[in-house]
Formats: sequence, C-alpha cells, structure tokens
Amino acid sequence: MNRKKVTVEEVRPDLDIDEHIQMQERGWNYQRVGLYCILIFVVTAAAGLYGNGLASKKTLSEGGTSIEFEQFFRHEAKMQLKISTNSDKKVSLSFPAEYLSHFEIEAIVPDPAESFFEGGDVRYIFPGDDSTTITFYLVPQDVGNVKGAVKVDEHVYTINHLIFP
Amino acid sequence: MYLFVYVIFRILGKRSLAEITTFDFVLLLIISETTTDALMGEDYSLTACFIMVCTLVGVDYLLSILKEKSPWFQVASDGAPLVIVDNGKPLVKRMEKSKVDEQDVMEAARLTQGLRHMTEILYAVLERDGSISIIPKQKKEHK
Repeated sequence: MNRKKVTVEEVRPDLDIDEHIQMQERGWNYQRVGLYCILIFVVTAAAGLYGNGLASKKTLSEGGTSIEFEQFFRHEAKMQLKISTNSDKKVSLSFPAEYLSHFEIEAIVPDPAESFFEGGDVRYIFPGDDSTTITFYLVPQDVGNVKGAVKVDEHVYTINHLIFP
Repeated sequence: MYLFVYVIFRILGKRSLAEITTFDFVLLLIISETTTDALMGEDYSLTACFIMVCTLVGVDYLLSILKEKSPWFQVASDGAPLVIVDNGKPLVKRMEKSKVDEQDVMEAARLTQGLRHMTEILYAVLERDGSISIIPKQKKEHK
C-alpha cells in the first residue's frame, strides 16, 4: 500500500481513537499555505492593491490638466476622482453615461454650474479659476473591470478601474 | 462570508478558539462587527435580517448534515483527535505542529486531574474542539 511518509512521531496508544494522521498532516500543510495567503493578502492590501494606496492611485497629466483616480477599488466603498486644471475659462467635463451607470455619484465638489446629457455623455460645466480642482465622490455599484473616459474640454483621458467585491 | 470565516478559523487551527484571552475576545467582537457591516450593508430591514439569519443557520445545518454523512468531510473540517503525550513523554513534533506546548498540557493536567508532573500522564489528547484531555497513569493501573 502506498503510504505517505509521516513527519510526526508514530504512536500506538491503547485508546479507542482514530487520529487520521495522514489527514492531519495534510491539514497542517494547508494551514501553512493559508497563513502565507493571509500574509500576502495583508501585504498587498497595505500596498494598495485593493484601493487607497500606492499601487492603486494613478495620475494622468497633460498640459495643465491632471486626473487622479483609483485603478483598483472596492464595491460600495467611496472613491475620489480628482480633476485639476489651471484653465481660467469655463471647464467642461464629460463622461460616457454608460461609465457613470457603474457608480453612484455621492457628491461633486464644487457643484457644477450646469449638467446635461449630450450624445450619450453626461456633461458638466464648472466656472473656471486660476487653479480648479474638481472632485467626484463615486461609489462603485458593480464588480469587475469598469472602462471609461473623461473628456476635459477637448482632451480625452481613458480611465479604467478594477472593482473588487 | 460564511465560507471565508470558516476557512480563516480552520487556518488558525484548533487551539485558536480553545484558549481565548481577553484580547482574543475583543478581536472576536471586532471581527463580528466587521462581517456584519459587509453582510448587511445599509439594509436594516427585518426581512434582510431574517434572510441573513436563515441563510447562516441553513448553511450551518447543511454542513452538519454533510459532516454526519461523510466522515472524511468531518475530519477535514473539524480535524481529528491527536495524541500529544504518550506514557509521560511529550510528542514534541506533534505538539509543534498543533501549536501546543508542554505548559498547555500541564495546565490541563492540573485543572482536570490535579496532576503535578508530566510523568504522571499516561496519555494527553488534543481533542477536535482544541481542548486537551488527560488520562492519568494511575487510572490504568487500577484496572
């Protein structure tokens, strides 16, 4: 019979007991693997692989505009999408309506002067200033890959998120 | 969520719940609070509460049936008893693997049998629930 090697002491106690020693060995191995998995999970979480961290934050910059967003985030948790621009004219932002349908917009700071639908996009107009930072507080409502874009005036920036359950 | 908590406590091993310190107790309360938020979200309705309670109790009941039907599953989920002291001699490798030390064995020996020395123990068994049962030597001699 093919018996795996037992790494602990073999005893024959005078007891009505079934130790299932092979399964115990397997259990100890799984426990070790499980502990490593917990460690990896904690380290990757600290690095921001599930949002709110270095690995998650991404900034796209072009000209005087920069967009800061989370590449990885969690379902039903509040995340920020920051758009900074130094335009002193009105700032126009548009998102595909399909993209916004994956989120609940909890707040927009500052409030847009106007917002309306335009050809499948949702467009927001903000009064310009020397340096404007617009923050969208978004709560993901879906899990998985969410692809989208934001159009700042005439420039289109692609933003993707991976939303964990 | 049930499966996640189940796996976590299985990874931590038998002794994790058997010897609860004050801090472990606080930790358990924090874990329960955290999982409640993830399970219920912001749904405070009675219906959601009924669904959650019925689901948890139902899954637990199903698992207990599965354990009854399949001895393999019973051992895989709850573990099996393990002899850790044989005729007064601590089985060090077994104790190391089970995260139990000689002090734990002697504590159980003092509490349950009033024994003073390891040599007075015939067998010590780490049970499935993480407790340690002690069979003293003299009991066998009386037979």
